[in-house]
Amino acid sequence: MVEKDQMNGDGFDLDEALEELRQALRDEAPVEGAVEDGPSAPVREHGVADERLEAERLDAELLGLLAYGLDERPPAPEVKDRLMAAVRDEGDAAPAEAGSAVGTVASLADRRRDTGRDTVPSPESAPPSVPGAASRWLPALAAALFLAVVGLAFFAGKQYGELEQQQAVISDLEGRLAAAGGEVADLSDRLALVATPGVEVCPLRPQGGSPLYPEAKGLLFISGPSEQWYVRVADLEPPPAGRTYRLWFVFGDEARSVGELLPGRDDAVVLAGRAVKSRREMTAALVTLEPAGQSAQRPTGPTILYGDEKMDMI
Amino acid sequence: MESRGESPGPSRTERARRDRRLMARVAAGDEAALADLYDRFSGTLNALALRVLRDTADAEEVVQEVFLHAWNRAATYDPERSSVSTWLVLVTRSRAIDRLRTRQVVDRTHDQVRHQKKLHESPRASADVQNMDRRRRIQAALAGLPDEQRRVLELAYYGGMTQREIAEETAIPLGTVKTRTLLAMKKLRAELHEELGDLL
Repeated sequence: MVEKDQMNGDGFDLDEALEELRQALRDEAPVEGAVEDGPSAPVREHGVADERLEAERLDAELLGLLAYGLDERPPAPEVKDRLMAAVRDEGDAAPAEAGSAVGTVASLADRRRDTGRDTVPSPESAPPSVPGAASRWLPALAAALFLAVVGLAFFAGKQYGELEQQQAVISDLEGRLAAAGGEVADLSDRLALVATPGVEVCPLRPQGGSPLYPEAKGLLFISGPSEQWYVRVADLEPPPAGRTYRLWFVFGDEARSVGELLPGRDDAVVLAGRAVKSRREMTAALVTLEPAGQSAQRPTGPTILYGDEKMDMI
Repeated sequence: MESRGESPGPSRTERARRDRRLMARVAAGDEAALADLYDRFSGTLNALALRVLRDTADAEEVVQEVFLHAWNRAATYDPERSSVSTWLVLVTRSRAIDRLRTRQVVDRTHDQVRHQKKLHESPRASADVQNMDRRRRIQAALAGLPDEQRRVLELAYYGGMTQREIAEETAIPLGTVKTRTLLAMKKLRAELHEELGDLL
């Protein structure tokens, strides 16, 4: 489910929203009931960002709304008192921290005024007639000044270090946010495709008596109205070095490459595309292991998965 | 839609606008606005935290944390992405579930004893007619779900469980859990579409 202030920039919330979408997509079996009832959002021919945002917003608001089904239970009055006190403390603490050096100097001065004497005699107050007095207070003054300078330098260095740390954290979060935003968009598109009316599902299975990867399995979703498609393959080992998995659509005697399968985030491999030409003429789909980096005119490697059975979901 | 309920009062859409203005004042450092925000939402947020944590003290700490978070992060709130109420609810749920997981690791047995003691406190009847009206509709929508769908939704929403954990907890296949979750969400969307429309 979409979660909390993911809508507003906290990284961990966004992660949870992504996880929920992944959960929905990870379902290997088609969600019959969900599809039968029709989708909640129309298939988007061009993945319009506004519609996606609106759908995400709708999910978030629904989750937010559920809490209002609970009977209200106000916290004890002290909770509000503590909260407001904490807020006031924060307000008070901020300027004190910012001006701590000044504050320290001022408070020392105040204390000196209160006690009616200076701990460090000023030149004016030192008795001029006492021989050797200057030689006593001058080193003390120098030492105090030295300590003050060291203290200020340490304070400034610490502040600068913290600032750098915070900037690094912010940069990291911004990067994660951007990446996650893109992924949410992709996942939303795929979710919409899988749930669209008229979607056809074609199971992909290992072929032959001793398949290379007997555990591998896949599902190909093809949307009727938009002819968008999306394939998801699970339990497939990474391809050997220099090889790649390639997906083909078969039209009569011709197999047409539609792309290489890319590793997904959850050990599955996924691939999505648009505009399957002559969808009704497509007779089968297959995944083969091919040399990487070569043009794909026709399948040359072993068939890993094959499917020719299309099921209309609606 | 706005005429539902015994008292007209401000419409829900108007309330949503007021909430946004309140957040803007909080972002500007207005303590009175924070107090207003607290008065407006603390009852529901505490109920949610209590439902998740089943402990009064823990729930109240979460509520305090949430409003402190709102105080410090109000400037990051984006009204285009969610309503104020949703923002606060989702932050609360997140914090409560984080605390629940930590607590489960620390002391499961003691926790169970506390649950039994704390859960019998009676809820305060809200004086807000519109809130009651909305609550009734949400409760009706939830009650309209088949038991098995509601159970899955509650474990995910209040228990913070993943679908895999729910499958283990309820001893039903993972695919079934996913199907039930999706169907429940879909049905709730349909049942509560008017309430949702007011928030957008």
